[in-house]
Amino acid sequence: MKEFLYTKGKRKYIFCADSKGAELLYNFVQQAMEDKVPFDFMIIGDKSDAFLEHWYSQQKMGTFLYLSGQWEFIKRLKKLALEAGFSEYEMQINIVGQISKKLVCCECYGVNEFIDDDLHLTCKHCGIVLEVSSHYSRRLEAYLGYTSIS
Amino acid sequence: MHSKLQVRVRNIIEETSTIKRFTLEANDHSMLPYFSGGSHITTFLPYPSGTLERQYSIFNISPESGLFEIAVHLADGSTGGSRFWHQNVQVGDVLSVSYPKNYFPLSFQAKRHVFYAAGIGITPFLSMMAELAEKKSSFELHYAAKSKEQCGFYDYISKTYPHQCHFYFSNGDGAKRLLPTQLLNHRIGTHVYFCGPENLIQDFTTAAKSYGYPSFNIHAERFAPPQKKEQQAFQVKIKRSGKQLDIPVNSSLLEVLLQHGINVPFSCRAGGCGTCEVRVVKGQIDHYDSFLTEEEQRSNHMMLSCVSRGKGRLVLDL
Repeated sequence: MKEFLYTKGKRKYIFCADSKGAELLYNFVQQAMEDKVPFDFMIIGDKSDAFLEHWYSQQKMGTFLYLSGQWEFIKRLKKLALEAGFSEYEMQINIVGQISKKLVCCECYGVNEFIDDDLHLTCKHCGIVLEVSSHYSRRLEAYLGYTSIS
Repeated sequence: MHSKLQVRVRNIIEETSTIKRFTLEANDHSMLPYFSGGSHITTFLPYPSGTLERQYSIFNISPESGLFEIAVHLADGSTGGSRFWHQNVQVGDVLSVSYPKNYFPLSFQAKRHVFYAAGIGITPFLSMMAELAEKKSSFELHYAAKSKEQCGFYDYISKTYPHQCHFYFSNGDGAKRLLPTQLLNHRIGTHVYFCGPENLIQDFTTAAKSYGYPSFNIHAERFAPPQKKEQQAFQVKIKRSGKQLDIPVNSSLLEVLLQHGINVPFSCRAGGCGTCEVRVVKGQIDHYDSFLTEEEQRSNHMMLSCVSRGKGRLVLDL
């Protein structure tokens, strides 16, 4: 993952955080204020998907989005932002705490959960040893697990 | 691989005093191949001094499918393609053209497409708008011309896309200019497409970037390489053979490589398609292409040999 950095040269910034992720954004808010660039800062709390989707889709080109928080929170907001039209070139994310990812078995297509630094795991559906690859499917929101040959 | 299509000129329409539309059909009366929005063909024009290759965007706004249409603007003082099309080509003539290629495709991730055209730069957008209208996708057109009379396809566009088009005429009373500040109005998820004179492409690209548009959302079509301010001669060394070559001021690296039997594949020769990319081992590159990402350009490891140049001496991985 890329380093979480302030991207200069944007018209507007949107900072979204959960209660765990807010602190990391304070420096960026400070920077936006110094650069006199407009921004919105929001601790999302219990805002509905419909609200967020509407808010995101009202933004103009040149807006940059920062998401900071726990994995489940990031997954939800990133999905809403992509649906509204933000691309991965217009957002940066910072994940607080553990990331739980999905691995699809190349043999039985079963889905396994894994944490970030696992390199191998045994498929809980068919029992073969899988290697975590860097091939990611947006559709399945999962990585492909290959048969491990060693 | 480089097989050509034989086409017959079925119809010629004067769209304006300087723009002619040519409808082309397959010489054997079959259907010409399907093409996606933004595609172009290379036309091979028989000249006494040899074949002249010219690229034109294709569209088909005729009622019949399986045809190619091109629009040619007679350039001031043209001695090349546009004069040939305007003065030599008659209905019934048979010409060779390439299969369609597309270096200016629509983004499939866009929530909205916005087209900026000036003059004959409208042509790629004719096929793009048709494709989007069919898919019921969201788009708008901003189109600048000198006057209504000199605005090619004015009637067709305003009738077919009444809610999507905005015209800007620079001559006469109530002249309206097309300005880059228009780019500030587009919603998130917009992809912008520019086609027209080099200064339009450059001004709008620069403005879009300054407003914070990612390069990913900016698309431009050039049929000629961007004008360079001052071009310098440079040298290259071919890594494998050790051969040294001089690239004079008025030649491209690609031309010199081909002259020396180094068969680099190429296609658009305007820095737009990436076919003629070569790997660079050493030396400083002056990039003039519109294909490589900024990151790739900065890496100094690759260049498009048709337009980009070296500062001093380059070593190529060939």
